[in-house]
Amino acid sequence: MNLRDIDAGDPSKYRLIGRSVLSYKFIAPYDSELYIGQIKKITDTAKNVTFFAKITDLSHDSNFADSRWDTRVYTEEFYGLGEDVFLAVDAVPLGYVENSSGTFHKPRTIPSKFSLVDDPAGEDFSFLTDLMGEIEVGLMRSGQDVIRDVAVRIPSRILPQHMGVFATTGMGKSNFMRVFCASCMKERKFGLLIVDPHGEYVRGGRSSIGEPTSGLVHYTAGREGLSIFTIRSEDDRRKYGLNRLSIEYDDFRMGDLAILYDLSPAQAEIVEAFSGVPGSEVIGFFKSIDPEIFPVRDPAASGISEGSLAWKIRNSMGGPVRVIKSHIENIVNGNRAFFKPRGSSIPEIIAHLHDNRVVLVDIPDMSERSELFVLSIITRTIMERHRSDARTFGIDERHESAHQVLITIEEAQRVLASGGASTQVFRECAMEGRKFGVGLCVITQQPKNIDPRVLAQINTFVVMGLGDRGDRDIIMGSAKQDLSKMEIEIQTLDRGDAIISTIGIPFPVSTRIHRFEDYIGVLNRIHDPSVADGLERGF
Amino acid sequence: MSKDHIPKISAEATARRIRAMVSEDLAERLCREEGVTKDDFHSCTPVPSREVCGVDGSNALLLESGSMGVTVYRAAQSTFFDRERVKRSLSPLFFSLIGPAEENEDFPGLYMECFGQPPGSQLGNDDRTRTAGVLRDTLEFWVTQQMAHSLSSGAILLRDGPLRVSHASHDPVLSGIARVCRDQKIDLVGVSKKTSATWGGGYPLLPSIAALADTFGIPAPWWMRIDLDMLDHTQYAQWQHGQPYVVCLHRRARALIKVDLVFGLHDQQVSEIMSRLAGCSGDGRVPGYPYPLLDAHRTVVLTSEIVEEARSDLMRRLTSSGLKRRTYEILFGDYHDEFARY
Repeated sequence: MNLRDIDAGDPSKYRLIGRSVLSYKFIAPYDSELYIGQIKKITDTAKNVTFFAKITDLSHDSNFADSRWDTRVYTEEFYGLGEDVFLAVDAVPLGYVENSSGTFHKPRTIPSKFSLVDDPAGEDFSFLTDLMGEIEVGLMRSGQDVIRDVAVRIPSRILPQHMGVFATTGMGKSNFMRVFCASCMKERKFGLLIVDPHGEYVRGGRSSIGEPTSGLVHYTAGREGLSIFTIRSEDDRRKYGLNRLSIEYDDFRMGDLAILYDLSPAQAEIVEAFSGVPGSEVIGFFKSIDPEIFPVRDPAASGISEGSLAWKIRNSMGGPVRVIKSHIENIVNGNRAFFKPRGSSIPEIIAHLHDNRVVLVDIPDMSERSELFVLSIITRTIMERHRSDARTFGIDERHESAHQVLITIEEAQRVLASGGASTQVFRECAMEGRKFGVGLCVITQQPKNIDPRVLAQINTFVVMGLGDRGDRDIIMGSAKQDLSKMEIEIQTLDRGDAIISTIGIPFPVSTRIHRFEDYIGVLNRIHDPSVADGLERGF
Repeated sequence: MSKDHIPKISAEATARRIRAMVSEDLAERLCREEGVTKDDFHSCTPVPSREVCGVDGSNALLLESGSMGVTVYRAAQSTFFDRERVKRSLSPLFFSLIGPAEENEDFPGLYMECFGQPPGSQLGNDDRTRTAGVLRDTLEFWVTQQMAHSLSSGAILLRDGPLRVSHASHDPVLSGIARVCRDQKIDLVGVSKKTSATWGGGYPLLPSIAALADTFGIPAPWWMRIDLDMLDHTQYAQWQHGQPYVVCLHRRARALIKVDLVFGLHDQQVSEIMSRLAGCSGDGRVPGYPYPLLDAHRTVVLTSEIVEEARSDLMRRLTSSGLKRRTYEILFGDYHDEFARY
C-alpha cells in the first residue's frame, strides 16, 4: 500500500464551471491579474470548437463554509490560501469558432464542462478580421491590453442605418470623430457631412483636457477624400485649398426657423403659411413689410392682393409678425458671412458627398444657432434630393449603395430630444433616412435626453465613458446587441476606450480608439490598408 | 406536576451540575489544592516552524443494520515548511464490515498490509464506533510511521490526538514510531483539541488552567507541563506514550489545547518545540491551532458528498452481485428515513 501524493498542480482553476449558455464562470488564483472586458478563449476539445468569452465581473470567493472567514478581527495572516481562496470570474459568451472550418457562430451551445480557459493569441481572432468592415477606428481591446492583430473596422454598408457616439466630456469623443473622418477619407465608401463651429476638425486646436490636437488637413495622404467649405478669408482658403461656403436665400425655408427659435402657436402658424415659399421671397417680404398693418381687416383696401404673401397671413396679429420679422433679420444679419441673396455651395456640397468625401462645413467663431441653421438647411436639402431621386429611380439597392451620406449632429439632444416636433427634418432623417441612403451620426453626452424612438433606429453604437447611470441604462436598452452584462465595463471605460456594438460585427467589441495624431502619422507614411502594426500606443 | 415542568427541572439540574464542575473559584482551587503557581507557566515566542507534518484520519459509518455495519476510513498527511505546504498525500479509502462476527474480520488484513505482521490482539465488533475508530487509527498510525521515515531531521511530526493508543495492537506501533522519531531527531507531538483529563475529583483540566492564566495575566503564547499525579485518572494509562502539556499558542486562540510530547524532554527543548508550534498556529481561520494539522484534517475529511458517493458505489456493487432491493431495505433500511418524511 502506498500513500498517494495529491497533485501539486491545481486543476480546479481556469476551467469552465458555468451553468448556462449565456453565463460562463470559472475560478482563478486569488492573486491573478484579470480585468473586466478581458477576452478569454475556451477550448472545447470534445466538440473541436473554440469559444470566446468576455469577463464581465470579478469577485473574491472561497471554498470555506464560514462566509465571514476573512472579516473576523483576528484575521491577521493566512497560510496556504492558493487552493481554497480564489477569484470567481463571470464571463459572457461572445460566440464560438468551429476549428475545422473556421466558421464563427453565435453562442447557441455551451462548452463542455471543465473546458480549458486561457488567453487567446492574435491569430485566434483571424475569423474576426474577416467579419470586420472598412472604417478603421482602433484596435480590439482585451482588458487592459490591446490585441494588435485585430483592428476594429465598422462596416460602411450599415452606417446609413445611423450611428450613435455616446460619451461624456473628456472621454475622447472628438478624437474618435477625427479618426473616423480620417478612415472615411481613406476608404471613401460614403459621404460624411460635419458642421464644425469651432474649427477643431480642420486645423485642430486643443482637446477638452488642453492637449494640442491636429486636424483633418494634416492627413495629407487622404486629402482627396476631404472637402472643406469655409467662411475663412481668401488667404486661408488659398493656403489650405478650401472652398468658399455660401448659402443663398432660396436655400432657406421658413420651417428652418422652428429649429432655431421656440415659436408660439401664432408664430408657428405664420411659419406654416409660408412653408413652401422660396427663401428669397420670404426674406424680401419681411424686409419690406410693416407688422403694424396686421391683422388686415380689408385686404383689398390695404392693397393686398389675393394669393400674395401678406394675404396668406392677413389674419395674424401684429405681434407674431413682428417677432418673425425680427428672427428673419437676425438670421440674415447673423449669418451674413455665408448667407447671401445669390450663390449656393449646397449643390457642390452634395456633389462632394456623393463623391464619397468627408465634407467639412467650417464656420469658426459662429454661434450655435448658425451651426444649426447651416445643418438644418443642408440636411433638408439632402433629404429632398435623395427623396426625389428615389421617386425617380425607385428605392433599390443599386441606388442606395450609389449615394450614401452620413450627417453628423453634435450635441444631438438639441434637435433629437423627446417631443420636439420643431426639429422635424432631423426626425424624418432618423426615421426614414435609411430608405434613401441618408444616415445620422448622433453625437451626445446625454443619451437619455434623445428620443427613444430615434435611439431605436440606430444600429451602430459607439459607447465611450458614461458617468450617468440613466445614460448607461438607456444605451444598454437601445443597443441591438445585449450590453447589459457589460455595464461594469462601460462604467470603467478609460479615456479613449469604447465599446462598439453594430449589427455588422457579431458581438460588441471593446476598442482602444487610435490616437488621431498617431493614426494619421501612420496613414501619411504608408498607404497600406492595415495600420495596426505601426501603432505602438493607443489613445 | 405539569407536562412541561419535568424537562424544565431536568435541564436546570443539568446546568447546575455543569456549573458546579466549572465553578467561579476554579483558578483559586487549582492554586490552593495542586500548588500551581505563575512560575509553572512558560512563555514562548513564535519562531519559524520549518518542517512540520500533520497526520489525521477520518471515518464514517456508511450502512448499519441490526447485525452489522459498514465503515469507510482513510488517513492523510500534510507537510509544511514554514507557511508553505510542500507535500500532501492521502491513503486509499477503505471499506470494512463491522459484524456480525464477534471479531473484526478486516482488521488483521489491514494491520498486516500496514505493518507487515499480524496484530498482537484481535479487534472486537461489540462497539461499532470504537471498532471504526481503531480501524481508522490503524491507518493513521501507518501514515505517521511512513512520515517518521521520510521527514528530515529536525522536523515536527504532529498527530491528531494524544500520544496514546486505544487498542493493544497499536502499542508496539506507536513505540516503534517514537523510536524512529528519536533516531531521526524528529519531534513527535500529539495534539488534542479536547481532553477528558480532570483533576480534584472531576474539575475539567483545560478550563481550570485557562482561568488561572487569566488570573495571572499570562500573555499567549505559553505552555504548562501537567504533572500526571495531578490528574484524576488516565484513560488507557498503560498505553500512554507522552507527557501532557496544556498550551495556548496564540493570543486570539479560541481554546487551549493539550499537547503530548515524548517523556524526558527538558524545558528548553519543550520551549523550542512550543515556539515552533506557535509559529505555525497564527492562521486567521483557526488561530492557536497548528495549521499543518488543520490542512491534514481538510485533506482527509470525509464530507457528506464523499460518503454519499461511497454509499452509492457500495449499493451499485451490492445490486450487481444480485442483492435484491427489498433485501437491501430489510437489511439496511431505516424507518427514521421514513419518519423524517412526515
